[in-house]
Amino acid sequence: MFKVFWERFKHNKLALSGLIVILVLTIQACFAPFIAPYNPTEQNIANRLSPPSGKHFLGTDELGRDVFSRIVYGTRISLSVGFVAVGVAVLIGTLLGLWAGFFGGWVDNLIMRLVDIMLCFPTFFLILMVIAFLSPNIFNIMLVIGLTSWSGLTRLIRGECLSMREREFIQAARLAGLKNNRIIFVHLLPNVFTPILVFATLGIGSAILTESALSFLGLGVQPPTPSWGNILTAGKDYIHTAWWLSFFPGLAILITVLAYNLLGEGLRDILDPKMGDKNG
Amino acid sequence: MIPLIIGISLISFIILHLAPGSPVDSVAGMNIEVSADSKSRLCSLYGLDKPWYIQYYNWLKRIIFLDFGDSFKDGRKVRTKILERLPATLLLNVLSLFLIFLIALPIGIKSAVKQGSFFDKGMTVFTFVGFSIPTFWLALLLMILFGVKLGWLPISGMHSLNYENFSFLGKLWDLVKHLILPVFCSAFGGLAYLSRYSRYTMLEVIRQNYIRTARAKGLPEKDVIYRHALRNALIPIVTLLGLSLPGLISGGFIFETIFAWPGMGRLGYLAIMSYDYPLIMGVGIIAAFLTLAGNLIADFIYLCIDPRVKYK
Repeated sequence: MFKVFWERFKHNKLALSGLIVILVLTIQACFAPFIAPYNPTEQNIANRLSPPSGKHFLGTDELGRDVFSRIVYGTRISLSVGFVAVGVAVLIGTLLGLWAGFFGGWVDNLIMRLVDIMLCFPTFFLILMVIAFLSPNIFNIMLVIGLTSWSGLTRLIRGECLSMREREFIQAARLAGLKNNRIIFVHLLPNVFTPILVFATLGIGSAILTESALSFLGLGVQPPTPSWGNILTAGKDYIHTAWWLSFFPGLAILITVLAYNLLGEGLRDILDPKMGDKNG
Repeated sequence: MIPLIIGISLISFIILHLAPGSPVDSVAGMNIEVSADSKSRLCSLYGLDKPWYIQYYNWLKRIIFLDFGDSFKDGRKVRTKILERLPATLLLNVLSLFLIFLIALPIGIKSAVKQGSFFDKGMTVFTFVGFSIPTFWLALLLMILFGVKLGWLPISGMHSLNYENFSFLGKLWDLVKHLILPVFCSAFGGLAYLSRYSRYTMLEVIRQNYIRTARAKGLPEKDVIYRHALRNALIPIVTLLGLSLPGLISGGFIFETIFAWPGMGRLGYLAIMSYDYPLIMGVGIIAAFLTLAGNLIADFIYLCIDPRVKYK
């Protein structure tokens, strides 16, 4: 099973390059202290806002800190927010989707109304609101992004479950007298693994985007801890003099999110031939 | 629609009131000269001393008469404050939607018709980058390029300082110049999404039997694509356009802040920053309402393009 998957995966160049970039980023996050040439929070006012050069090859910021080192450390924030937020979303989305699809009736009704509300909500406003009132630290950000991004997955899984509920193997499981929980987690769950995996991969990308937007507005990870979004905030203030402060952190976000999107779409092509045409 | 609005407002209300910190703290919290007594008087003035469900009930009662209450910050009516800002936001969003539709659809159709061509591959790359790019970063880069380096376009606000002195055409041109960057940036994400999606639906439709029939009976390719295929492909696309509204409105909170655009998103952002409860609730409800209205319009367009759909 895994061998077949790997054979197909190897030939999908886009997905493979996405995976490689993600691996490199993960290594960069784990070994940040060894990769970064400077301490990311060490200030050097005499050397503030110096353009990219041999010494600071992505330049320095308004307090003379090395931008490259800050971006390397920022990888930690972005990746961990992406992973945890998606973990929360997958947990909620999967559970509610399975329940709605399996039980039907009023449970389904209630959950789907909740999904409707979440889909109509200007989510970013909700996130802004919660973060502004709770203190903006990394745990709150992970939690809030996760709590507001599960509705798409719930819809997807519910749909799959509804069609599976009437299939023979579920009927058989019921006839055999299995408990509901066992049917849901042992027989339904493995069958919705593909949409979950695809959703999670694509979701990490969008969670990273949301986190950087929050940091950019000053409601994300707080300085002096470096995150890609809050380096950009400084970039906006020095837009007239220091283009490198805006350019490089954004590029880091773009590359990371692109990698996750390529991997996610690639996984969809490989694992789910029905939806595979989306890429052509 | 009404239950949805109630659900959304209830969730926002609970979050607002369960969160630590209160408007009174932000007014008087740091000031030691403010006694506990006057703090509690401030609380009851704002109506914050009652339990949240009673406050919610009172808020709901007023909302029926479209009374959103008074802003905590300057005491002006929330309704007036929002109505002042609404036109700017609507202008931005309607233009963005228009741009998305106008550009994305032809791109999608052309990629689908010439599947595998150089154009198609280029567009696939473009859409992937479009999904992944942080649009506020794009906004910053465009500001640096067109605003700072080239000096062609203004980078903030809606009007120039000497706006009043312009002739009518001058005013219009001034507004257009201020609109270009915000509209382009807020349309960009949707552009990538919709062109990819319309390519996908077109590909699905082109494979159908009725398209083969249309070709077989000798219709010119142009008619086959634009009359037979496009009309069928439009149906799912319209739904998607309705679904993309929350994203557009959410984006407004960022772009209006970056470009200092005097719209509702910026108003909401500032309201959140200053714990202005009535204003936050007002902006949230209006944003939700706009989303729902957009979905209704999408349903209506459905009715126009698909004769099979009838209201039950």
